[in-house]
Amino acid sequence: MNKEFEVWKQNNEALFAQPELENFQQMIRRAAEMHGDKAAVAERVGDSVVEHSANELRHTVEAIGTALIDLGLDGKNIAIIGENSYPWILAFLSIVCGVGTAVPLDKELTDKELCKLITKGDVEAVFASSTYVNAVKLHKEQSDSLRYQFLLTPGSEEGFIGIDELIAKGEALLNAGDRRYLDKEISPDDLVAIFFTSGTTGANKGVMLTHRNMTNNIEGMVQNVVFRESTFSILPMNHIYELNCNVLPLIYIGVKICINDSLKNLMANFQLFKPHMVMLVPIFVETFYNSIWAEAEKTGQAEKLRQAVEYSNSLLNQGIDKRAEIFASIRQKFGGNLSLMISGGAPCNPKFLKGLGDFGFRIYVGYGLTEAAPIASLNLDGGTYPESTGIPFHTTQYMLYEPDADGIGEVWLRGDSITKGYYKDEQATKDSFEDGWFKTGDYGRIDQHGHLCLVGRKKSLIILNNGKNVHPEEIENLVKDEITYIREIVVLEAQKEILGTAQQIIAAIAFIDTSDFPEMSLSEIWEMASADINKVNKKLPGYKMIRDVTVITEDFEKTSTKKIIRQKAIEKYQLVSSK
Amino acid sequence: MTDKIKEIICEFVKVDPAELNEDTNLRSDLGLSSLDLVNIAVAIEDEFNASISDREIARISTIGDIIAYLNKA
Repeated sequence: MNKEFEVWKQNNEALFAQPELENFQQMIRRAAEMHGDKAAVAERVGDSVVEHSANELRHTVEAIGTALIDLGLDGKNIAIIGENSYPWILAFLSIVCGVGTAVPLDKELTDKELCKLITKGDVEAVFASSTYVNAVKLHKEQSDSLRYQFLLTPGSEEGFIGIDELIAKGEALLNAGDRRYLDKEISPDDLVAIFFTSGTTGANKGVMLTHRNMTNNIEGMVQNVVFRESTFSILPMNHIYELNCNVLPLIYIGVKICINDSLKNLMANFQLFKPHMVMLVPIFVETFYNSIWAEAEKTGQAEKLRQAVEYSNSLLNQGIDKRAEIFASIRQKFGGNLSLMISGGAPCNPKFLKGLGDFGFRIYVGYGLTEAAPIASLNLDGGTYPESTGIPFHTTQYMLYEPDADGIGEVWLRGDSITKGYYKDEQATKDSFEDGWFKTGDYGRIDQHGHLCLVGRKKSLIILNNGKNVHPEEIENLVKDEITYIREIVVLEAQKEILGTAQQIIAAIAFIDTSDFPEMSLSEIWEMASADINKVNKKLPGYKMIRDVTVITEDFEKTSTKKIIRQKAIEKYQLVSSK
Repeated sequence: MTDKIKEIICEFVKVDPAELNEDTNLRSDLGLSSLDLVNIAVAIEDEFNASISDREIARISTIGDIIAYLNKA
């Protein structure tokens, strides 16, 4: 890896000669100076690819920014709601390079939820794609706080200014000598963006990030990661992971960003763009892995593929890496150039990371959170050590608070990339910090390699009356790995009467699809699940064993990011088990 | 229309079309992932010459939702 990094460094002298990045205005200017007419962003238009250079990007950002200042939006909060697109990137950069604070909103939210956040974020203008025009109009019916609406997509909407019109206006102002945007002074500690996080309790906290927070993460990517020629942008840009691990750093570094316009076009766009790397969340890691094996099964090649993996791994053990040749057809499925996958956003089942690593994909695994802008730790060898999230990222420090006998403690972070707090929420800010450390609410331990390995979330932690801690996620993952017909499971603490005494036990509520067992009654399914869970229990220490199982036939209630709402699951258990 | 939709869904999951009805939940009853739903949406778009945005796909839970969407379009 060091040799690889040294070669990368030699090939990118101009990048490594730059002083430390302090703000986004610097970023966009340096990107244009270093990369000029080289393609920065590529988007699909019809069946063709249209590329935009770093020079063009800078010029257009400056035009839009100048127009926004002219409209009186200097220092204001401006929201962005839309699908991944070149205009989305233009909107974000034009705001943060000299206007005010960007408020990227989650495109999966309902119109009502978007309205709530537009108000909560004190937003005075919004960039929206046509899909979200109704959400903006709904807000306009409720409040007159929005002064301007800009349309990200082609076409026109009453009350909206099209982005092309904004660009033309800005260009005219620039040509006339308007320098209000160009000469704007930006401090590294200026607020650059507010990211509202989705909480399983439903409360959205606005994470405030400064230029320093976000550029520190970008510098970390420059100093630690070897990139490839092009990247694929699949995940939503409104999320800090995609925005500040893929899009923004790679504009700076000079790697072409190929935009996937819709999940419907995902595999077709892999063939169109032939990207070299991609950032993923676990559902994609799992889907890619499963689709490779599903196709192998369908074509009768599964056994051959298993043997190929075994053979390839035996060669690897002897220091011979032939994976690129042996699994060339698998790489073709993803366009032919894909060699690096980065998994983040949530813990990923090591089986899928290792599985993709077996096919020769280089896997990075990151741990982060919006509050860390976002990377807290990074593992550059996730294919070999899939359980680890690596070592502290760049200048970020972490510590484990009050580790227990197993060495598991809450992960606390500090450093230049860590947020100063939550927008207009002093209490939440106060509750999240102690002695300058940010309390993540995630639990982990340090393994024998000095790497952080995450165990679970604090909120779900079960503390037994014998002082032992139980992390439900550990047990849940084990059950799901061993009993594949259990679609979802939530492990919780409960009270059970044993020999006339109420005792604290570990219980589980399992979602099973009854159509998988059409010949069985619900009680027969319960008996089968209980028996199988008892077999899994044998792999657990006594205090972690599941002592009561409830089976449900409908999926758990989930957040917009597909996480089970644990509290609702617990209420469901209490309701069902009381009957 | 309903029969055609069921036929498309059965290409993605092994289930007897006769067991599907408008209330069948694609995620919790059929175990389909959000990416499976995207692929189903593409097939439905092709069949009915419709256009379903990513946002609308995320909102689809049941066969009834698909029918309602197509009728509205």
